Amino acid sequence: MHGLELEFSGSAMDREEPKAASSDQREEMPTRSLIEAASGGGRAALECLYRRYRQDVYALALRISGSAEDAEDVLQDVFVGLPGALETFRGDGNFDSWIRRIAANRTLEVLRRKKLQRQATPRVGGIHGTPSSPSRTEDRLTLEKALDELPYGLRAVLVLREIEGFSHHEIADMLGIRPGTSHVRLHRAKKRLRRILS
Amino acid sequence: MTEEGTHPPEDLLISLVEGSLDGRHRPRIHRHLSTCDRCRSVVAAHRRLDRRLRALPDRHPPEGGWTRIRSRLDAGDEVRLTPSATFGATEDSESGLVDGPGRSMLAATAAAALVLLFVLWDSTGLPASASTLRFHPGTPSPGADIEAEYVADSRLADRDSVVLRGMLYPRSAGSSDVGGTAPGRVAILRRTSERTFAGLFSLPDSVGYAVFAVESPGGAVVDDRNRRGWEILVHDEEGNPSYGALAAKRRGLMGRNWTLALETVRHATRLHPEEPEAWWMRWFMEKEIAGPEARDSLRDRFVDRLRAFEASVADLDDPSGDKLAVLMHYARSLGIQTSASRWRERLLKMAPSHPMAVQERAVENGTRLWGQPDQLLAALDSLWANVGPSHETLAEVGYQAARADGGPEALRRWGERLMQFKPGPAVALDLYGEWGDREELRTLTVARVEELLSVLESEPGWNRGLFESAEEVRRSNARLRQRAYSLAGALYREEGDSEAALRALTRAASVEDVWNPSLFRRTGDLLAATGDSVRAIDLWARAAVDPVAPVGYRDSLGSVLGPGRRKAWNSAMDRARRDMEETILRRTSFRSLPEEVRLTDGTGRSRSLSELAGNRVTFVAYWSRYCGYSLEDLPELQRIARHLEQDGVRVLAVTAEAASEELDRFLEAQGLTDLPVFHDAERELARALEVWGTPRYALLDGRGRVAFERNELDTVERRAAILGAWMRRQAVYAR
Repeated sequence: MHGLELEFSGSAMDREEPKAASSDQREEMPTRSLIEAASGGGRAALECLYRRYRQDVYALALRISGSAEDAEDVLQDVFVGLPGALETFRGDGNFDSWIRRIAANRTLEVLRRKKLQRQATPRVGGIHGTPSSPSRTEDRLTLEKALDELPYGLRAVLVLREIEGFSHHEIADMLGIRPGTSHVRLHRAKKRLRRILS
Repeated sequence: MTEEGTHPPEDLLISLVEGSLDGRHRPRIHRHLSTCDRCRSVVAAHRRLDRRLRALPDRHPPEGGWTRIRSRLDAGDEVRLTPSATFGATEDSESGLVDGPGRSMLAATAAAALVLLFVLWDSTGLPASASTLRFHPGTPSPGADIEAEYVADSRLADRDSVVLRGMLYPRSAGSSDVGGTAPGRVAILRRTSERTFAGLFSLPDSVGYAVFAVESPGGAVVDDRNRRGWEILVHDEEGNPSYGALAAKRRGLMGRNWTLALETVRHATRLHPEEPEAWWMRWFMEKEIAGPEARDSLRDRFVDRLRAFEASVADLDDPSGDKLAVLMHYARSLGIQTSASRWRERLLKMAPSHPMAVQERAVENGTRLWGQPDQLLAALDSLWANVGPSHETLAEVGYQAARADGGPEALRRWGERLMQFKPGPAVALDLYGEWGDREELRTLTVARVEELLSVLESEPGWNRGLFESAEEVRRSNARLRQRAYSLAGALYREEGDSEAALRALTRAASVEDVWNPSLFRRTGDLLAATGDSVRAIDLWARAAVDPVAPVGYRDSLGSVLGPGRRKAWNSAMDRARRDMEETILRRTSFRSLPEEVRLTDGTGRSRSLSELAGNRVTFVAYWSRYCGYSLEDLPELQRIARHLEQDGVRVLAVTAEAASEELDRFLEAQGLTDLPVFHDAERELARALEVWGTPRYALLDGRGRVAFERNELDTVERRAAILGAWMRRQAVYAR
């Protein structure tokens, strides 16, 4: 075994210290150029956008849906549909917000599609059904489990407002509700969460 | 909340926590809270809940997603997406999934407003001005509530909220280095106007210094102020930073910004001249920048200080372990061995469990009993039994002793102890690599490596640095994943499970973002032996395109295939070349040098770095003729320099030594007359590149930005060749 290991480490490309890097690099390829290229069918640009935003999209979908499987579906759908959807996107000023809105809507659509199945069978999986690691604390598990117990409408508002930082107006637009309703749902979600946790 | 004595509705309490409570309700709510435990606990629970929600860890998508997306695109799959609700939900439906009427007028108006906003931004364009982050109060007291206001530049200006992330350092003086917390989310800053974001957070009482960066939610874009970050230094009631706070700041800056760390210790000696640690640290740093002559005159002043401290501590009956340890180190760093021994003796006698005393005892045992493994391990085990995990040197000496002479059980025991001080997969993998050599530990090692892999796969961003983006940490962790799979493969092979070994090695070779030609070659060989020539060709091609592969290596691989496979081989080579460049580029980020750097040439003429580079890709080798590693590298460096020069890369060999005839004679004697040597007597380049030791190698792009820095020459040639070619192509396109 030693021989094998020595040979691997001999190449040493994989032994470098992680480098604390500046984020200047991202200025190299502005999102605006990537959007233009991706909307014209550029695969490499789309892949760049995927690498840049996959984390945001996946995390949001996972928090709203509570299911790693659904979140993966949403992630794929968003980037498969992105070249077409980009035609309706005007300017890159707010792309980050725009793509997260796309993701939130897609998640709710996926959930709606699966609603009938869920009514027939109890929900399985969920965030705590994803592979866990020894380092995950009990506290996080409890909170995630509690989040999982909230109905989707409440959870979506809570996630979009408290974790994703959207305004009530934006949430209202995404969910097709009034801003006041978003506000009410947020409080309902928090009250319910506090009770579940206590 | 209607009358005193009844409880206010929970919604009002939640609004209070959110900061959105109507001013009319505020006085009554506060009055009520001052007398009602129950409501106070509800408020506290909501505050806690908000904090916990914001601290939920990032979630990472599984690998391989892009491949599936590409296949769906290839298959012509279509998905219609929209940023607004395509279905309405009835207003009172909490499920949010019920079909209903179309979206409201208000929503439509909001969407129209957003589109208008996009158009306005699009036409005017946001200025790419530098960002600012301000704290109110700017000099907070311990445990203060702090308001953060961030004005974003073009990278983050379009967000609706940004995340304030920080590392907090406790206010503690003393000779043991207490590190900062792991980087974590401190607050969400919400947009308040076009480019401005604001939010509140509380500083824990124990914190003396904190450093922050601002990032997009999820960490895709990080504003780290060109790696300087923004900071908070806690002040006392009199408006001065305490010594503990300044010591915390110094610890936070060491290894990150040497100049500011030195300024901080100078500030500490001015404000707190009574602290010996401040003087020890100041000497430790100043002697590094003073030349040999200045060092001697500087030293006298520090010796005087030491003597004064020694006199004051000598009268104390019961000086603290911290004080004794500081005096020992201070005297030692000044080279006054008699003093150092005296303080050491007192430290060992009066505070034998102090971490610094434990360090001394571990080293002493190691030196005295090396070569007598049983006695050494017995002594160290007994020390550990008395003091526990007190100082990492004890665990290091113990592990070295176990590795040299101990049995497998000692190796495991001391390895576990070492990992308490050095958690994280990099060290674990080093240790498991050694454990796997011992048959008795192999089953345990396999289980540990598998466990480690499950953590690395499920939480790829767990160790993200403050100035690191989500993508950057994923890339740096990819190397660890590859190492872990390689190790697993080797272990399975030792266990006789060749199928599992091949699976693990194939997995190692397919980890994205790591380019490891020797792994590709070996895995390709194994696949070919099992008859899987398709995958073998791909991996062999990846080994063959390596720009530093020996001459003839590529042909030897290609010729094994025979003429029938030529076409497949050539297209595999094309793919491999593309992948290699993309992989290296994804792992490269550019950082600007902080200031204009000047060097002198052999004639003593001052030249700016940018003038010397002349808009060319430039390879800088910082070396010293007094450094053994530099000397070892010199012949290889000269060969690499010739290779890179042929490719159009500018090469600069830089030394901190001023030009002299003696240096010329040395270069001549070493046969290094081809190497263009420049001098950095003022250490401008050393500071800019943060050179803590030689040799140090860096590659700069045509705009003078650093693309990579490295202490070893091993992969420099490969990366410089690949990046140099890419940069030159970029420059050509840019013309």
